Amino acid sequence: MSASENETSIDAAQEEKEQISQSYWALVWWKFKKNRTAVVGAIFLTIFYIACVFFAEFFAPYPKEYESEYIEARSTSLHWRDEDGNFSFRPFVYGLEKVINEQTRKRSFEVDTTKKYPVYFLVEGEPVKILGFIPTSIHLFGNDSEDPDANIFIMGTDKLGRDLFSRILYGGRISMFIGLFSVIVFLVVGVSLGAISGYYGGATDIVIMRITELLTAFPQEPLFLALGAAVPITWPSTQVFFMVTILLALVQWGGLARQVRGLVLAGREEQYVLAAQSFGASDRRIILSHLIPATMSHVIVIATLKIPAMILLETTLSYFGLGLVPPTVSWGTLLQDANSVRAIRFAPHLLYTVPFILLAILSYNMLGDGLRDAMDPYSK
Amino acid sequence: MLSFLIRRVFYALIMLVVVSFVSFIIISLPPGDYMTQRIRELESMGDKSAETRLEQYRIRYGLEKPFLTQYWLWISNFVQGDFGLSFEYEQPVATLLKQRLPLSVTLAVTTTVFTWAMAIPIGVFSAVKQYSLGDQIFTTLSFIGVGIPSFLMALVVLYIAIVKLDQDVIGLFSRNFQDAPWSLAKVWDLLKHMWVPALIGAITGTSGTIRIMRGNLLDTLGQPFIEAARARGLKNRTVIWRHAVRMAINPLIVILGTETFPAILAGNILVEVVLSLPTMGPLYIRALLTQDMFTAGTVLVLITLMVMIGALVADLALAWVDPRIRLD
Repeated sequence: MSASENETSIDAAQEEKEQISQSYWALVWWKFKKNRTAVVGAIFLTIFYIACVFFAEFFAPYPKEYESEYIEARSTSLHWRDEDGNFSFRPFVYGLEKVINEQTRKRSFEVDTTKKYPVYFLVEGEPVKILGFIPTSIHLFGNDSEDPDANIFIMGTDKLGRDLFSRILYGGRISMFIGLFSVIVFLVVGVSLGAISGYYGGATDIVIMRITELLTAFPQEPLFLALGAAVPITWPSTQVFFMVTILLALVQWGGLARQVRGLVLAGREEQYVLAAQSFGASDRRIILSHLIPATMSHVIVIATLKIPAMILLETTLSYFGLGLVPPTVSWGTLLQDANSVRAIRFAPHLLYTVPFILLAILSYNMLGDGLRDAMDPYSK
Repeated sequence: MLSFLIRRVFYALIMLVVVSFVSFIIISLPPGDYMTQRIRELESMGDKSAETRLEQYRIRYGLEKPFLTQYWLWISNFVQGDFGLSFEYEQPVATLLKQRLPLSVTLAVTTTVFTWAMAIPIGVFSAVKQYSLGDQIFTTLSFIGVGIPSFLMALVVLYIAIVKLDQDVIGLFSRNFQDAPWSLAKVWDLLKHMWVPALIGAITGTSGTIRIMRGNLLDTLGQPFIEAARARGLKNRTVIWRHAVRMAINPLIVILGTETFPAILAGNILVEVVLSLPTMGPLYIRALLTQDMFTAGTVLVLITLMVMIGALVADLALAWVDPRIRLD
């Protein structure tokens, strides 16, 4: 009993020793791994990046502009057991048939149980180019059939008969990319202006800090919407895309600049900076290779927590018609289709985009929270 | 104290001038706004009444004058309460605001009451019973609540209400009460609609507030004066509510100031638009979409004004409840 207790305490001491002798980043990684929610968040994000950003063409059963004749069809569910009770290991989907309601004169698509289409993995489908340059016609799943009625809309179709699931994956690409890209702009502007403000002080500092105050004086949401509205509608969609990205960053850099300024102000007094100065290092060198790296652990956390905010802002702007506009496919423009009571009543499957957005945002938040804890590995 | 107040107000005024100028730039940026269209229409009509109307606009808004003159005309009238004309509705912006303000205020007050009535007890419970099952449930829920954007929540609520429950949750009134004069039945109808946006606002607001309340109270509960109060033999409830909560609630006053004041004008613009409420939020979005610049500019500047007033009030209130804070 006491021997085993002794052993465990020795083990614990050993572990502690190893911990102390590790490098900072090794400790961060060690602490991050132990945080289960953060790891789950990271895994989900990896899936999102693989399925949306990199290989949407492969994971989506249809190209994003593929228009089928089934308009606003509900989602087709996978079946393993058919009407007669025959069980098959290979799942299948039923065909759809057009039904016109005599009273409301509304057209809808109902499941036609006489037609069965088995679902296969890695099937030949519409030709696409992965990331715009790798040509392939293999899709992750689909129904390998020549019959034009054979379709697989696992999340239904939109008002032009386009497969929503495919479009959500393609939309994820733009939305996730905007999040990442605008955070990069946000970091570059925020960190550099913050560092300059903190290092030089004086008039530069005052001017930069007054600008950040002006930005924070505005209420975020309304200012953002107004800026979104100021982007001319006549611009081509790529230009709008970049404008929105930059806007996202420009409205928000103030807070980051203030924090970096604080850290640099403290760092400026450190002895290693004095040493570098006495070696005759230039200001640029001191800022770039001594002061900014010291703020990195802090900045990474802010950036990770900012990405979901950016994704959400883009979604919001586009949803209200003030950001990206079709034909650009993003989660926000996809949600635009669901912005009427009519759409929610008759085509509620258009809201399938919502869980994707929520999952992406939640994953980033979990990852960011985990990083925040991990970046301070010396605390218990 | 007085010098602090004077300095703050002076500073806020300067900021307000800058803010209004920036707002004016933003709203005049996009080409093809409603006013230009309207003027073109009038010009093409070319008759006597159109000419006089055109002449009026020219004088009032300083058309064809330099940008700074236009700004000056706008802001000097703004201060006197003349916000210009909404060219979309063909009504003065002030009239539009007056129609919508009462409902916005009612909604903001209801939401705040909901939020605080939920957040403070839950926050206190979470801190007092730290790491209990209840605390963990509330912590997880508030974590998710902070993460879920309110307008997506509004969409989900809309879906549940329309598809699953077949309820009418759009707007603030049923169709038959829309234009009816105020009566008890209409108030009841309003309440039946109001709880949806109020609850959505409260859920998002509550999550953050719970976390702050919990954190502060945990800090406070560890302090010696709490131990001293317990040692004096005070009842647990007295120690928590009269001593600990009284201290821990201070930061929430800042939230009350900085969030509730702007919320009076534009609480949750996005939720209001999704639920198409007859409040300020949808008016603002609509104005932005149609480039109805005076409406948009007025709302933007007024919200910013409220943010500033809110911050000032929060500072003063904090100094009033916490005598350790000195304003000078």
